[in-house]
Amino acid sequence: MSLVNNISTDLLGVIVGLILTLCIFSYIFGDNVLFRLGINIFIGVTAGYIAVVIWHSVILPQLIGPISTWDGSITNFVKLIIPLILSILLLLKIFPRLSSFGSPVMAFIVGAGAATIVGGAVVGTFLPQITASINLFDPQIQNSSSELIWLLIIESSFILIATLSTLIYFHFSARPNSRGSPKRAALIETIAGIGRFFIAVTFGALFAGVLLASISAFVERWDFIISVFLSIFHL
Amino acid sequence: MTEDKQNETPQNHKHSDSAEPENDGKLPWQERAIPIEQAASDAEQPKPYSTKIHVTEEQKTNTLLLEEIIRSEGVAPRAPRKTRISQISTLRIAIALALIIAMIWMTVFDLPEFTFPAVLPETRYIHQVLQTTPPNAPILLSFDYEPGFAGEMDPGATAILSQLLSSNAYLMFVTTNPIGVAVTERVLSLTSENISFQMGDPTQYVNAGYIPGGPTGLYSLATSIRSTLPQSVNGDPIWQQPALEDVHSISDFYSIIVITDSPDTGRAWIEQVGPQLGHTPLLIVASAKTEPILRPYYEAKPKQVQGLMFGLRGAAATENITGISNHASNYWNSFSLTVIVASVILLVGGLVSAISAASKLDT
Repeated sequence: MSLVNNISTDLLGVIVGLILTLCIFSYIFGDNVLFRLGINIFIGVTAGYIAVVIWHSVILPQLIGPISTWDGSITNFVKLIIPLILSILLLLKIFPRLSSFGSPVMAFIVGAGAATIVGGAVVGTFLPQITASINLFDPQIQNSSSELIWLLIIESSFILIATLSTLIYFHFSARPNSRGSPKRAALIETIAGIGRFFIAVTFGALFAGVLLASISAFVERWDFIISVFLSIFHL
Repeated sequence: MTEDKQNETPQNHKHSDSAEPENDGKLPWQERAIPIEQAASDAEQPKPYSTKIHVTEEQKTNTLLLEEIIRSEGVAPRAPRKTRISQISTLRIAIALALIIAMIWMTVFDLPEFTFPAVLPETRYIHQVLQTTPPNAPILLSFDYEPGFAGEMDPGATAILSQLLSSNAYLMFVTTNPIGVAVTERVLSLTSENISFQMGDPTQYVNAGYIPGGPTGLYSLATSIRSTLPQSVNGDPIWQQPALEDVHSISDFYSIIVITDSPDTGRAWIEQVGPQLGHTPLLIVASAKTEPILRPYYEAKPKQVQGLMFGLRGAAATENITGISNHASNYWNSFSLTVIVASVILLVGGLVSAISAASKLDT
């Protein structure tokens, strides 16, 4: 048996994974050839994989497949021909001279996407979160909770203060002071200071989350490296 | 004007005025003429205008800036100087070494042993839903995370999948990320190490694959699921499976579970799919970095998300209550020690930075 046959696919995967992991970790010593090699391999493999997935999951089953099995129905023909024409027009964007043909399709995609996102944000976040802020002070909801009522009132008040002060922080209207420079009213300035505190706490929480996520990835990779070396040296 | 009058005097008035008597040798019209000396002294000197341009400091600065921009257009930018390893700050290497030593320490000595985290109510709810899932109940599971976050997300995903496969629920996998198709296969492979099930068995699960279009695709999934997902990644029809025969809308699933590393993806599921769910619970397993953004949806009254599980902490807590020890339990001690080391580094760095800033202010 040849050496290639002796090396199992799993072992090959482990070796490639180990080499690429070490390439990425070489960034500890700054930007270098190994790090760039690793990054470029990842980008290339990802781009190739995405192209294959889109062909097999989108273009083939949702465009080419239905066209090839068209049942003769005019309605179905219209449903198929419109996406096909739009796709061809969008493809023309890669040719500089013909790219203007793809612009209306692009405009349609952007417009439909924006409408979906804005509609979703209003229905899914804006209105429910406003309702939730109001419901914090609903006695019926507070009574139905298992928590102590005074604790709920304190918590609700705290959330209300945080919400209002954060919103007021972004109130930038100002009048000129005695020296002519713009300055917010004293009350607004004080509340904005409280809002700034809450914004800082939010950014701190976000940073802590990113740190925890990064450490999780770090631990998993080093656990992999150590276990590979331990298995190589039979420890 | 005076000179003009003097010039025209002899020619114009020679004959007409010759009859008039002379007066001190002056002709009569000369009495009314302005003397040449007075006219010369009364005439104003023209104002001197400087040929120099008066430029303010700001204008000078702007001019210099414009000149600099125009000059730089014609000059090729210098390539950044390649830094050698010896020149790189040792600080970065020292921090990396501290973290790596902590990892090796835990692998070799496995000390100290950290207690598993407490189970939060939002995580316990997920466990309760999975425990009460009847056999063959259809569950939609979305793997929406990048492979780069596999270290954090895989433990949570395998913990959830292990419970689901143990309860014999019928699983339908989707993803809004093209790489998610590979991630799904990877998580199934990892889970098969602990739970025995047949990989690729269409009576246990179906991989419906990639949903294109981001939020638009999710809206399409929420409003017309059957036309959005016509077939599996293998090209097989999805909706002929007995467990999925009664599923005509997204709210017909027993529960929806989204596993994501991105706050935007989590929010897109809540915004686009959430309003269509009715009584079907939406459960999210997410990266620790998404917690400040996704938690308000859980804290809201009424809740927009019924269950949440964040990062390695949530995965370790879930493995602890289920008794299925897997990746999260293995990483928990190393993770805890590395977090402590990182926190100490941050604290020391912050203190040094504050002290150096204070000393600069003093000087």
